[in-house]
Amino acid sequence: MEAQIQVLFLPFLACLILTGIHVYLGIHVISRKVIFVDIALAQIAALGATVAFLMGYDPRTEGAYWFSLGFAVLAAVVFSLTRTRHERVPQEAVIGITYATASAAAILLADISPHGAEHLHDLLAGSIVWVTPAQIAKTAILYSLLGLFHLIFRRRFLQISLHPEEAYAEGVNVRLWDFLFYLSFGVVITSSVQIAGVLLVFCYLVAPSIFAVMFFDDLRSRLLTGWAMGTLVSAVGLYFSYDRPSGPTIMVGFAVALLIGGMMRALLRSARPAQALAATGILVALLAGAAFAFERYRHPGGVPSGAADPDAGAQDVVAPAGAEPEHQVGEGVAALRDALRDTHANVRARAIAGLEKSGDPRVLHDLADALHDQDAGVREAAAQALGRMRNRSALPALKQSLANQDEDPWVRLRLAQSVAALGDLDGIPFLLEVAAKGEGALTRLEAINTLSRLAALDGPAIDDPAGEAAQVRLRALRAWWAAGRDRLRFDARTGTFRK
Amino acid sequence: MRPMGLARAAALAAAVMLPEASAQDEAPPDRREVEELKAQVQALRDQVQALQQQIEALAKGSVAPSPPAPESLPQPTLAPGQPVAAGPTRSPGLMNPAISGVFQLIGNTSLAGRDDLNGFDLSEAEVAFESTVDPYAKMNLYLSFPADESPEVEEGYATTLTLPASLQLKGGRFKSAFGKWNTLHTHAFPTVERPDALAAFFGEESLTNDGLSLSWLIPNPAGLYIDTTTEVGTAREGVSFNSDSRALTWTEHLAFFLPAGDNATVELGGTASGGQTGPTESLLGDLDAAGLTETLEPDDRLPSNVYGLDVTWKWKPLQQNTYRSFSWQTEALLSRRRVQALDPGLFLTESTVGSAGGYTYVEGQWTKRWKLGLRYDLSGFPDSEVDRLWGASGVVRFIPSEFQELRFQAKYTRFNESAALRFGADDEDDTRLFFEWIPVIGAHGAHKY
Amino acid sequence: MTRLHRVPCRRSLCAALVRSSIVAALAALAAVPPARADARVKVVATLPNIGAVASAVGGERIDLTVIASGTQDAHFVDPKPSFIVKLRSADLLIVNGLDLEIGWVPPLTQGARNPKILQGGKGYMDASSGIRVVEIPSSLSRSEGDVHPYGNPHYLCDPLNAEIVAGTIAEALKRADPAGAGVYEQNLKAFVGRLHEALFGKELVKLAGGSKLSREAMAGTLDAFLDGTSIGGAPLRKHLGGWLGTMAPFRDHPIVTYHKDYSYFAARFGVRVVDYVEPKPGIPPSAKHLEELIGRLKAGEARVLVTRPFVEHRSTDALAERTGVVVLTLPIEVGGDPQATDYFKLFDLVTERLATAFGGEGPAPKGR
Repeated sequence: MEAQIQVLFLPFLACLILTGIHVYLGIHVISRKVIFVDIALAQIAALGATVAFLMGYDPRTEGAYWFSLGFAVLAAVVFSLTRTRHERVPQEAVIGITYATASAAAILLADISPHGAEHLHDLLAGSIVWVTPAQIAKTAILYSLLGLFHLIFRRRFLQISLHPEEAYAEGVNVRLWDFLFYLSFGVVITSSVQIAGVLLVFCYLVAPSIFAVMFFDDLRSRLLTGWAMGTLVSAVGLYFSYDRPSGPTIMVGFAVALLIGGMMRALLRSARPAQALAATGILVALLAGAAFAFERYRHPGGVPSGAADPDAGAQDVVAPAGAEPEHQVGEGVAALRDALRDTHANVRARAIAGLEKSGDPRVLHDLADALHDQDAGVREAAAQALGRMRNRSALPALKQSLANQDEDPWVRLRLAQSVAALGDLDGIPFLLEVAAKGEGALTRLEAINTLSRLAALDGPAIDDPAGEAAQVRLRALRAWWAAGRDRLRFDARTGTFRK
Repeated sequence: MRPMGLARAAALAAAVMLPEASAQDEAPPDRREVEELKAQVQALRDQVQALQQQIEALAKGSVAPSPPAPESLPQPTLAPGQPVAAGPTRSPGLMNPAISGVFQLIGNTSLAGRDDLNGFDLSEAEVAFESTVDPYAKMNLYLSFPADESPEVEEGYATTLTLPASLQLKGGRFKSAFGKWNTLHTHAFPTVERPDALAAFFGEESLTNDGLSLSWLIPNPAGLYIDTTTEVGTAREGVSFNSDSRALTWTEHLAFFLPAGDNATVELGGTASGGQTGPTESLLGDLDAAGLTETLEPDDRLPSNVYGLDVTWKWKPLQQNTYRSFSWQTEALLSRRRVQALDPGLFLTESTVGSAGGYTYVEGQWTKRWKLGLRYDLSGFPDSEVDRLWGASGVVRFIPSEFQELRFQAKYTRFNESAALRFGADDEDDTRLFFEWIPVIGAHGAHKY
Repeated sequence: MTRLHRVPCRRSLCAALVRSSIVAALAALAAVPPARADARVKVVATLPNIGAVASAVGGERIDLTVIASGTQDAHFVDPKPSFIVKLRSADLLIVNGLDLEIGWVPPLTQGARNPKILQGGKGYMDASSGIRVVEIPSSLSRSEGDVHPYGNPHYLCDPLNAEIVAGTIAEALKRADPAGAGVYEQNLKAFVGRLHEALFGKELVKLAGGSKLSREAMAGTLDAFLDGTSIGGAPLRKHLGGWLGTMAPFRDHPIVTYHKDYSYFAARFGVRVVDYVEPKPGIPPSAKHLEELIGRLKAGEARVLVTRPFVEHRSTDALAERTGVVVLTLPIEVGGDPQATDYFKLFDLVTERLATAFGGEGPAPKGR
């Protein structure tokens, strides 16, 4: 919990700052009935950032900021110019078109760059969690200055928003004040978009103000309500967003809060308050339940914890047993080849025996593949079979497996035996290694006897790998190898190496 | 800012935000992805070519190195037990729900000569479906086909499987979690018929709700199973909550499971339920007799509450649990409701009526297939403070396998005078003998403990 | 007379709302995850044998709970609510699979409010994955008794299957607790090594290597290997020890078991099951069947009867009395006998008692 609070403290501060100025601006915007202008300006600022991105400026640098601001200022000019006294073309339409154009332009431009999509995503969803103290400080100072500016000239600003007719009548230069308004708007939005992303900015502008406007008529009450609601929802939203995207989570929080506000408003106006209260209570409980369920629906089968879950979504742990009975391995190379892909290692091993018996050289490739089987028994059988088939084209595969140092001592033994049996000198050093250090007395025994046969050394087969005779034989073999390794040649008729 | 404008603005805002949001989900294939796909296809082409070369080389007998497997292609090795062919090979009906069917053949006779209930009855057939809906929920559906009435849904509910905080939500039509016996289906009763108290308080159908039930497993440091269930819904039953106004009925049930050693458990439960009820039978009868059915409208929304307490002790020795067991279950019910009556001056008067009832049932098993049970019933009636009855029954259960059961029950019931009138009985007592045969087919799900 | 004004109904509704909001509030509080003091992986195993293997692989890193007791019949465990509480906080549930627990695990998992351990969740592990299952019925009907539709589920009666199960458990634990992957791998190797030594004898394992012997045994070619390879002038078979060594002299000896649960053991250790006390799985012996069995036993077709601690004695006592057959009550799970405290001691006990019982009867009687 503490770690959570620490991590989320900075974003919470950022949210507070955003709430402060956005609520005020939002109330203005709602009074002017041009809701769209927020998101249009935000999108235009985003378009500016995209252009900057294309020109090589990283989204968080100064360059990108000035680009955004420039675009926003331009938009501000356009909006202030298009507000006419007698609205023939409703300003909303203009703003809507501007928004659509800006979005389309951003998409097109982002398409040019290979990382454009991510960049767009970042702009939209924002990354309020990664806000730095420097950014917060900068934004706080800027917004305070702007707030001061609006405080000083509040009467004028309120007049042009709430009572434009009055303003026109008094001969006020509405266009100029409008421009100033949209300019401050643009500055705020640009800075906010950098921190919080387009959608969240729009939310902060609109949601708390709508909430406030639903209940109160005078500016002070609206401001206070909006600030309270914004702060509360930011806190709750951030709390729930510990390991989810914060922006969208806060937005959902706003939506829920608005819904609740709407219900409360309906309640307060209803004729049967107790009944309505009851209904609201049930609705709230159900919503909470639905929200919980919704969270679960997004993470089926696993609890999203703080730690990263590398297998999220994968159906990892195991399906029921493949309860196929072991089946007969059929005759015919085709059937044997199929059996090589059976789930049971026994069947695969038997298939290898069958393929070896078939003598068909085309099966060498299948046997070579079986050298990489997951089961050590199958690998061993494949290695043995390849050696017994006496076909030298198997050598490369065998030597490669040999070089890979299989973890099973018997597989290593068989590989070495087969390589040597096919006449390649590379098998001998491996056999010597197994003879000396192989795990399990039996492997050592077999290695010694195989080597003895290949070197055509005189003497009976060794019986006891730990005995004196085995040591003597090993020394003899080592000597034989050391002496003749450059000059040995394979005699296919006898199956031995001779000088 | 008028509400309509507000709504419009909100709608417009939604229209604006939706495409943005959905654009994120359905992002068109990234150029980068396409490049990667192209690279993969090229690698595949290379490998195919190399393989073809190798085959030719093998055919000629010369040596060609096997091509190294490119990193992007998966290795064709198999983990033991993983089927090669995708998809289940066992049966085509693999996604079908588990279906089972049960019926009860009941034969009974009354030694007091109340022949109206004599004879054999295929009293009820039930078809049950159970399956998981999706990773989040499972569903149970029980269709009941009573002997001479139209078929109905006895229970049909979905249960969530993935809610957090040890919660489970059930929605649909389900038997209310009132006490222990109320949730049982007729074929799962230990005896042939339900205890008189339950029949008197909830009618012949048990307390069934159409609604929602939220159950919470309360975490506690002792690691005990403590469950609280809250239900809200429209009750479908004929006695305690039978208001026509479709008012909501709520039920709250708290259960504690306490282990008593390795071999036994004790369960303690408390239930409270509240809702509304309409005029009683006797009031309607009186109004009819006085000819006042049109003029006087009895209240249809009288408050009614039923409370219950249950204690269950189950002993099943671990090693021999199929051969020996013992259980003792007791439930007590209390009803308080407002009742209207027609007073001699032809006015509707109201009063609060309280009544109580309960049962205690003891069952023992001494061999794999036989169980013996004894039950004592005591019951008042919710709409009357004077009617009362008590009963005692003994039941023998023969269970040849998990899928079949025969029951023989003898029941002695004694009514007091007013209760006898209610049942239209001449005598004040009755002895009945029951026989029941219950076969089950299909994949009947596991029963709760 | 007009309708009387109703207030109490709203009151009861409001009361319900107060109640439900209190419950909802408490639920919200409970949603705050408690600080995890214990970092061990919470593993719940349904049966004691699985628990024994899991404990060997998991070691100190897991907190293991086993639901069934060793003296219980695994088909008929009661799904007590105390198990639900344990499952609620479990990270990994290991079931035997093959529908052995179909009668009691679903109510537990579905009531446990723990989506991890539902089938298909990342904390659900079926230990039968990878096991070669025998006796899969080609047709299914309850007229054949309580058949297991997916085959015989008592696969842990064959110690080599414990090797497979240990591997699967190690994989599941590595997934649940990646930090402990090294420890699990080590424990797995230690367990498998100990298993090989116990099954084949230390000497043979030193000579031929445990994994080689294990895979020859799984392939059914162990006999050929032991007889066909010689060392020190004698066939390898001379060095066979462990459980297989104990049972080797009693190859092909016939036994009767109560329930059809010894198929895997019989296949591995070479005993031959000639009949069952239950005429069909789950059906108690009828008089007719007992008479038939008595006839066969008297004719000497089998001299040892293996029964379980959770099964009734009347039939087996009657058979012992009428035919003189030796009745052995052998545990099938760890804990089924006071001496069977872990998986190795379980097989020590079983093989010793069987060998003693067979040893008294001379060479194997001819089978049918």
